Amino acid sequence: MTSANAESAQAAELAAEREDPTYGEIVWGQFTKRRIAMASTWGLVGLLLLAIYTPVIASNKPFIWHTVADGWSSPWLTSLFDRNFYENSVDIFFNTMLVVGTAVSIPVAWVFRNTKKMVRRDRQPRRKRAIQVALTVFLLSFGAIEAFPAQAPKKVYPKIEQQLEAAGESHTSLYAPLPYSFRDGNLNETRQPSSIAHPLGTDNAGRDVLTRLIYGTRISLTVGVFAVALYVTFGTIVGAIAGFYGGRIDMAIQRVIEVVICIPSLFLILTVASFIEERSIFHIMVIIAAVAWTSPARLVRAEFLRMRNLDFVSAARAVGYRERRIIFQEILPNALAPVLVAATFGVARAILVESTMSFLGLGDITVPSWGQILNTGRTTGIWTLILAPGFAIFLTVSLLNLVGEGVRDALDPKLRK
Amino acid sequence: MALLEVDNLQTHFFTDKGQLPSVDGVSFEIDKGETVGIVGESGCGKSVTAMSILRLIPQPPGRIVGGQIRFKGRDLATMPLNQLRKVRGNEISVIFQEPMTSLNPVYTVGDQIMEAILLHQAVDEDQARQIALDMLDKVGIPEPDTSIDRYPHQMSGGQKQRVMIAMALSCQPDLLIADEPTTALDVTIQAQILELIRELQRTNDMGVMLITHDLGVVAESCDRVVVLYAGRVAETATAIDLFDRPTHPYTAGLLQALPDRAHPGARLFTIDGMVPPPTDFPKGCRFNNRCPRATSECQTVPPLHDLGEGHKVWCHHPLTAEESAALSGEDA
Amino acid sequence: MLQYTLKRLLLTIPTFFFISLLLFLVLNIAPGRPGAAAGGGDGERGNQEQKESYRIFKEQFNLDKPILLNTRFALEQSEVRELLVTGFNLEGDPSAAQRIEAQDNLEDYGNYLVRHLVPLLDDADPGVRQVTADTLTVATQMRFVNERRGDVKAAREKNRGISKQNTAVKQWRWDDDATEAQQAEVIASWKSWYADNEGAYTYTGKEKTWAFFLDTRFAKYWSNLMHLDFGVSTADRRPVFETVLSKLKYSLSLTFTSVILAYAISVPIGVFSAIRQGTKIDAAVTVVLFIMYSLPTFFTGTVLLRLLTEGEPVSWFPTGDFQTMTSDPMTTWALLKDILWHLVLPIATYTSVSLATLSRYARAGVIEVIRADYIRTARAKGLSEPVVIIKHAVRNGMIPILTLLGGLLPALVAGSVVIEVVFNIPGMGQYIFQSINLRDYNAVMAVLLTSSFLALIGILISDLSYAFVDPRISFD
Repeated sequence: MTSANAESAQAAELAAEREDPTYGEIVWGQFTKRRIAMASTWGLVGLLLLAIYTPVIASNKPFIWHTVADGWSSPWLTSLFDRNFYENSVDIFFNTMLVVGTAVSIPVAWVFRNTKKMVRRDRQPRRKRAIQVALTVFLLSFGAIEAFPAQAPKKVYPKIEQQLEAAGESHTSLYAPLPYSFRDGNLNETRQPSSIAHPLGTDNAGRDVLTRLIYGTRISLTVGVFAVALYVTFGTIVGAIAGFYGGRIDMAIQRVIEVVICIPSLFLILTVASFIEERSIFHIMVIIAAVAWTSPARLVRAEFLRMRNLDFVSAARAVGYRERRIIFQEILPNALAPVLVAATFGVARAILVESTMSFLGLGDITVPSWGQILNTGRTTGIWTLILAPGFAIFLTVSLLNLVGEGVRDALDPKLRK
Repeated sequence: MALLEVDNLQTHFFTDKGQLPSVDGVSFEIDKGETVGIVGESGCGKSVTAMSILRLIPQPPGRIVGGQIRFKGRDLATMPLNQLRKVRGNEISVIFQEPMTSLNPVYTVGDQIMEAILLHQAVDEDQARQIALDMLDKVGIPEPDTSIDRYPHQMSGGQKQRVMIAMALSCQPDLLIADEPTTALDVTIQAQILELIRELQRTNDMGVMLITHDLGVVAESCDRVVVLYAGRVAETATAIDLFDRPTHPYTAGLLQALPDRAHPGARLFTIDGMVPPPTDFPKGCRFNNRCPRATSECQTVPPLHDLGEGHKVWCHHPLTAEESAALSGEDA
Repeated sequence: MLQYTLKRLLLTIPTFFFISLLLFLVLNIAPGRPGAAAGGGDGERGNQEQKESYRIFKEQFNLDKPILLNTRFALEQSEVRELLVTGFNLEGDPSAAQRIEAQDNLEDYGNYLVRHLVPLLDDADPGVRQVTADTLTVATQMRFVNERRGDVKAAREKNRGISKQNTAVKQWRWDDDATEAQQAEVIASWKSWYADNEGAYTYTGKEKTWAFFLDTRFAKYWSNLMHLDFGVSTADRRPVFETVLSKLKYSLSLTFTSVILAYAISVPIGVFSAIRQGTKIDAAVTVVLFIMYSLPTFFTGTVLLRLLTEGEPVSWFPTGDFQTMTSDPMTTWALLKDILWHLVLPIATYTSVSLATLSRYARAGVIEVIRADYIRTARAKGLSEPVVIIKHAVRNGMIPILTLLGGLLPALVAGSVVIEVVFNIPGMGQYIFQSINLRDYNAVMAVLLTSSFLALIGILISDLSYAFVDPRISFD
C-alpha cells in the first residue's frame, strides 16, 4: 500500500470508528451533557485535590527554612514522609499522591494529549500502558515508604523561631497559608473566634479548626471510597454467584442476606467497633463493608436472574465458553449499571456512617474526623465546631448524591438526550 | 350534518426541538353507522388525530392550536373540560393499541368496566354489574360470571382487548375511536376482533373511526378511507374507490407496495426514502422529496381536487383515471 | 395467599435462629473476653477467693463451656495428666502463658475430667496425686439450678443440697505437709464417693451426642432465649429483658410516629411534585428534599437542639428527655401534651431523612405511572382528574414505596441511636450505646436480638402487604 492509500484507509477507518461509540462512551457522553452532574463531579475533584494538597495549605513546618547555622532546608518536604509527624497511613498515602502522584501525572497527561488524535486501536493500549506504569510507580513508592518508615526528630518550628528572635539571630522561613498542626494546639489560644489568622477560630484545645477540617477531608474520602470498593467487589461476586446458579445456592445466599439485613446495621457496627481497642481507619472500613455488602449483592443477583435466560448467554454457552468467563465477561459488564449508581450513593452513605461513628466516639480517635469535631462542638458548645464539619459533610454528601443521580440518569436509556 | 366533523385540525407539539406540526390541517367526516379508516404509516399523525378528538394528548407538550372538532354540532376542541368529560366514555369511546398495558393492573376487569358505567349512567352497583356481565358476554368472554372478577394479568391479549371493547361500549356511545386495535394481536384474533366491532356497530348504529396502517384491514372493514401523510390528508375516498382508483401518488405507492398474488416471487415495490419526522417536514407538499412525479411546483401547498362522490385528493399532479386504472388492473 | 403467609412465618424461625447465631459468634469471638473485666482479669490469679468468685462468675454466664460444639467427653487420660503437669508446673518449664491456659482448661473442663482424675489418684508421682485431689475438689463442684425458672421453692431446696455437697468435697484434699495416712484417707473418700457417683461421670453414646451439641454456650443461650431469659446485666445486675422491654416503648413510640408521619407527608408531596413536574415549585420541593436527605441526622439534631432550646435564640422546646420529671401526678392529657412537646424536635430530626427518601420515591413512582397507558384509558372514560390521579395513578405508584418499608425499618431502628443520644431519650438506642461503653454484653446482645426480631417482623409485614396490594404477585 502506498502512503497515500494508507492515509486514506486510516481516515476511512477513523470515520467509520467515529460512528461507532462504545457503550461506555455513550454513557459518558450522556453524563457530560448533564450540567449539574458535571459541576458536582468537578466539585468532587476539587475535594480530592484539597485532600491531596492539604499539607500545601496547612502545615506547621515551613516550606523553606534558613538559618546561619543550619543553612537552607525544606522541613515541609521532609515532614511529608516523617512517621513521627504524619503517623497515620492515610496521611502517608495522600502525601505520596502529593509528591509521586503529581510527578507521575505529568507524563501521563502528556501521553493522553498525544494520543487524542489516534484511532481507538492505537490509543487504548497506549493510554492503558501509561496508567499502568503510573500506578505501579505510585504503589511501589507507597509500599517503600510504608515499609521503611522515616522518622525525624520533632522540631516545632514556630517555637524555634521565637527562640531565635529572642536571641536576635536572623532566619528566613516561608510557611503554608495555615501554619498550624491538626493535632497539637496552642493552649494559650483556646476557643478563639474567627479571625484572619484563624478563619474558623480555634477549638477547646487551641487547635485551628479550619486545618482540622481540611485534614478531615482525607479521612472521609478514604473511608468512603475504600469501604465502598471493598463491599461492592464482595457483594457483586456474591450476587453474581447467587443469580447465575440459582437453585439451592441462591436460596442459601438469600437467607444469609436476609439475616444480615435484619440486624440493624448501626448497632452492629458500633458493637463490633467497640471490640477493637485501637481503632484505625482500616478497621472502620472493614466494619462498614461487612454490613453494607448486601445491597450490591441483591442488585447484581436481580440482574443476573434476569439475564441468564437471555439469548446472548445461551449463545455464549453454545460456543463453549466456560462458566467463569460467562459470568465475568459476558453478563457482569451488563449488570454493573445499577451497581455503579449504588456505589456512588454508597460512598455518601459510608461517609455518613463513619462520621456518625466518630460522633459517638467509636471511630478512629487519633484522626480529625468531621464527626468527632462535631461531637466536640456539641459537648463544648462552640458553634463553629458544629457548623463547619456539618457543612463539610453536607457538601461532600450532596456532591456525591448529585453525581450518583447523574450517573443513574446517564445510564437510563429512556432519558437519552 | 355528520356525526363527527373534523375541520382543519391542527395539533402541535412544543418540545426543545421546536414546534412540531404533527397534525397540520386534517379534515374529514364520519356519519352514523359508517366506518371510516384513517390510514398511514407510522409517524403520519393518525394516532395524534384520534387522541385529539377527545383531547387526550399529553398537555405539555401537545396542544390543539387550530381547527374545530364538531361532534353532533358542538365543538369539542374548545368545550370546557367538565363537559368534555361527559362526552368521554359516554358518547365517544376509545380503544387503544396496546391491550396489555391499557388496563389498570390493580383493579379487576369488572371494576374497571363498572367504573365507566357508574360514572355516566344513573344506575346502582348491582345494575352496573349486570350491564358489565352483559357486555362481557357480548364481546365473547367465556364464563363472564367468574371472568368479571379477574385481574388483567390473568387474561390473554385478545381477551384484554375484548374487555377494552366491552368497557368502551358499555355506555352505548355514538362514536367509537379504535386506535390500531388489532396491531398487537395475532392474525387470527385480529379477524375476530374486527368482526366483533362490526357486529356491535350494527346493533348500535355506531360510527367507527378505525386507525390502522394495514390496508387489508381497511379493505375488510371500512366504508370510507382517509389517507394521512406527514400530518396532512393526502386523499380521501370510499374504500372501493380508493382501491380501484388511487389518485394520490402516495396512495398509489402504498397499493403498489402490497405483495401481488398474481406475481409470486416478483420484486416488491418500495417508495423511495423514509417518512420525514415532524422536525423535518418538507415545504409545500410534504411528499415532494419522495414522489416520483414531483416538480418545482410541489414546493407549494397542494390544492384540493374534488373528484365527486366524496373522493378528494390534495396534489399538484394527481394520477389520471388511466394511470390509476392501470395500477388496479394489475391485481385482477 | 394464606399458604404463603404461613410459609413466611415459619421461615422466620430459622432466620431468627441464624441471626442469633451470627450475633452470638460475633460477641464471643470478640477480643477481650466478655465479662473478663468484671471477673478479675485473665492475668496471673490472685488468691483462692478471687479465683473462686471468678469461676462462679464464668459458670453463671456459661463462659466455661465451649462456644458451639463440645468434644470434652473425648478427653484422654494422658491429656488430663498433661494438663495437670503443665498447669501446676510439675515437670518441664512451661511458660506463664502455657500454665495459665492449662489452668483455665482444667477449670473449664470440669465434670468431664472426673473419670480421668480418679485413676490419677494412684499415679506414681506424689505431686500429681496432690494436684489431682485439688482439681477434683473443683471439678466435682455442682452447678446450682437456675432459681429464676420453674418451681422456685424446689429449686432452692435442691440448691441447698448442692451447696452442702460442694462444701463437703472441698475438704478432700491435702496440703504439702500432709501425712501419708491423711493422703490415703482423702483418696479413699474420693474413691468411695466415685463408686457411688460413677454413673454421672461416664457417658453413654446418647449422652455424648447430647453433650456435643447442647452442652455449649450457644445451646445454653438458646435455651435461655426460649424462656426469654437474656441473662443479667453486668452493669446493674438486673435481668436484661426487663430493662429492654422498659426501654422499648420509648423507641417504638419514636419510630412508629416517625414512620407514620413520613408516609403521611411523603405521599402527598410525591404526588404533588409529580403532577407539577417541571414547574418551579417542583424544583423547589426537590431541592428542599435533597437538602434534607443529605444532612446527617446528628448534625440536624444538634443544631435544632442548640437553636431552639435554652433561649439562644428561642426556647420553644425542652433540652431533651422524653418527659418532664416531676413528682406531681399529671393527667393523661397533660402527660400526652408534655411528651409531645418533648418529642417534636427528635421526631422532626428522625423523620427528615426517611421523609426525603420516601418523597423522592413517591414522586418517581407517580411520574412513571402517569405516563402509563391505563391512565390514558381512565381519562378516556371521562373520569375527573383527581379521581384519575388518586384512584389510578397513586394506587399503582405507591406500590414501590411500600416495599421500602421493609428496608426502612432496620435503618430506623438503628438510626435511633443518634437521636436518642443527642436528645437524651431513654430508648433502646441509648441503652445499647451505654451498654457498649460499659462492656455489658448481655445487654448488647439482648438489644441486638430484640431489634433484629422487630426488624424481621417488619420486613415480613412489608412483604406480605406488598402481595396484598399488588394482585400481580402470585405465589405458586
